Amino acid sequence: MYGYMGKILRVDLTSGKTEEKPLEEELARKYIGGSGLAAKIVYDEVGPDVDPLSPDNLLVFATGPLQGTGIPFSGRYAVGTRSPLTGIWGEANSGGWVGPYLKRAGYDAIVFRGKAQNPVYLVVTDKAVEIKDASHLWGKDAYQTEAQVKSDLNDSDFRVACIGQGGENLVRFAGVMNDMGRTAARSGAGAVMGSKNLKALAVKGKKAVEVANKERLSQLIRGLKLNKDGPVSIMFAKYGTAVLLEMFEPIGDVPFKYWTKGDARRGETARIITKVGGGSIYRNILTKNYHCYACPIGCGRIVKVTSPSKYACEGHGAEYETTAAFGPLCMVDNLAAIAKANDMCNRYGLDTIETGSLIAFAMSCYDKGWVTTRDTDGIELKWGNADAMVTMVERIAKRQGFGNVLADGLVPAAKKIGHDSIKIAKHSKGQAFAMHDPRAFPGLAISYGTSERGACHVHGIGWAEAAGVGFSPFHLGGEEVKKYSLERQALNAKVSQDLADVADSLIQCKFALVALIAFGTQTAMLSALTGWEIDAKELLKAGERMFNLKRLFNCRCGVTRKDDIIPELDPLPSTANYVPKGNELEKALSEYYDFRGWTRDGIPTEAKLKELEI
Amino acid sequence: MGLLSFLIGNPITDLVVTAEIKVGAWVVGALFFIMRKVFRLSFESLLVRLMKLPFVREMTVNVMVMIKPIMKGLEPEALYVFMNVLRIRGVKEVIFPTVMSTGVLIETLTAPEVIAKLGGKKKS
Repeated sequence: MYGYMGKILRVDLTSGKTEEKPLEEELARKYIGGSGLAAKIVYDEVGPDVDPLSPDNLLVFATGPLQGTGIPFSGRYAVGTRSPLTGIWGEANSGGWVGPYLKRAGYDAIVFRGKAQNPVYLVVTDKAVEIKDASHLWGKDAYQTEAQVKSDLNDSDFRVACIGQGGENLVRFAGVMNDMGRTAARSGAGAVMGSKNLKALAVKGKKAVEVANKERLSQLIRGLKLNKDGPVSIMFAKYGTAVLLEMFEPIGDVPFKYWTKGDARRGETARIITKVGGGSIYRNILTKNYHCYACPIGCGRIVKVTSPSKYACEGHGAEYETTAAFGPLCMVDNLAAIAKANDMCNRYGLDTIETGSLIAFAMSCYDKGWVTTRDTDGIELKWGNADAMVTMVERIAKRQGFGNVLADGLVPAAKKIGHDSIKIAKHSKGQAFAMHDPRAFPGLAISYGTSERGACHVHGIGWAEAAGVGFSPFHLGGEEVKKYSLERQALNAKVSQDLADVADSLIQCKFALVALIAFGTQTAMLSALTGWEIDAKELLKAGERMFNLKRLFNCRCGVTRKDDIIPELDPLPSTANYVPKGNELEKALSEYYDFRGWTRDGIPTEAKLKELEI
Repeated sequence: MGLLSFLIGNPITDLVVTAEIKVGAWVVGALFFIMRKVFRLSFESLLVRLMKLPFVREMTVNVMVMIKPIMKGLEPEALYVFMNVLRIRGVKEVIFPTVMSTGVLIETLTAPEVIAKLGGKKKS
């Protein structure tokens, strides 16, 4: 089968047995790969009664057809599971080199089931599969683990995906780490890995991916050359994704003070951004850029902080989401502290969006008197307290003191804190909002609410459309979306979610989807790669199929219409482009369900499932 | 820089510039409305047609190439000026999305694959 290795590796950690299963071409064409393939496997085998942290849950590492082919932006892998944070479908993906190496080791996916008696790690090469003892790795952070695994295997060419102490301690938003700082962050797949006593996965291989039409594919890849020299690429290459802080703060997209403060003209928010944004990172702490596999941009940063010594760190620099979560959301204007918090998350293996959001939420509760220094062991969680923020990251990872309250996620933390804290918690289905504000881009109110893994900025890129960098009217059937209202946003949310599922199955960086590779070109590349006569319509339908399958999984887990409505947001002076209200959201949601072909309760209809061949 | 920030961030400047932008957008919108109704030409299809003209196509590609060193040389101070300009409501609501979507469209249209289809020589 062209474009695939044609094999799925099954690993039963309880018995220690491994088994190879074929990947059927029909399944591949319907679910492509990556998160789509993972969703199909999890949907078929994980029932609603399976505890996410029990041995019966599955953890799927999946690649897609693009990995290992040299197609730009294809240095990714996906993880899929039932999320311990939300209790519903969970997925995340990460850049770096693990994805292509896993594919070239000969597998399209690895499915973990069961729980090892003692900590283990799995070594996969193109010649053998071996489960090895990881007792000596338990307790080590992700950077130490990666280095130790390579040292144990006496081969620095291995690529390692692993967990830090966060995953070991079952912090429900622990991520899977790889390549010294890249993270499959959201949904808590790291905790699932920890629950299985699986410390790491090391992959390496040289098997070639067979391409149906090499000449055509090379031609298409060469054709992408000019786009990488475009303004968007250059800005990300120079300043990293953190430059979005400078771009989006003035239009009210960056959340401040846990969603209670926005763009005040020439005010405090602008001052914070100029101190912590992409420009400041570039000027003050950047040491070099780096690229993921086959990436023409290189938005990865290596940063170094030497002073003050308490924040000294060196490694993968903070992205936009991380900088916004630890900076503006906590009202912290100390770039060194943000770099330190990011570094600690990378080492402990935590999702920075969730961690930053939880600390900002705790600061908000502290500000209201719902949390006091008695609860926090003396830590003053005041707005802008950088020391407190950094300390809390460690407490969360180690589940110490008040950190243990936060380590189970936003909703359980709010329940423990009590008062009206649940009313101020900004989440969807238990996962914290990403760092884009639905008041700036109203389409987010729908896509945050309906995203299959809980609030998510990359599975409903309506914000990109509203900012003008999104999809062409082709995708929206010629419809024009009004930028600053809820009008027509339902269709925008639906299409952008389907497109995102296509990208996550191929599996490709969202840069390609948002701005840099036309969807038609992506389709043409898939055709050249696999030999399938597939057009944009069929590929988009595959995205819709995957989205609906994940929705079915969520419905089985108890998700209903009420879970698709996001918590209320207060109007903000001068930023307030739009404040989604309950009844307007209900109307937009009904419109969204109509576009989706779902019932008014948010359940895919029989006709829709038949149309999508689910 | 401070003076520039003050001038750009001034509420009166915001009011005046926003009004001008909105009037401009209304005029341009009206023109495109007429074009759509009379000539059945959307902004996108107009751009595609323009790109079929060799002179426009070559000039656009050249401009794209010229932008590269300018963008690479953009220092943080310029970002901060850009931040302040974006604060103007008219820029935020009208100019920014328009420029971004047009930019992305032009990037797509100047991709060698598309250029070749539009009639120009393939560049790689």
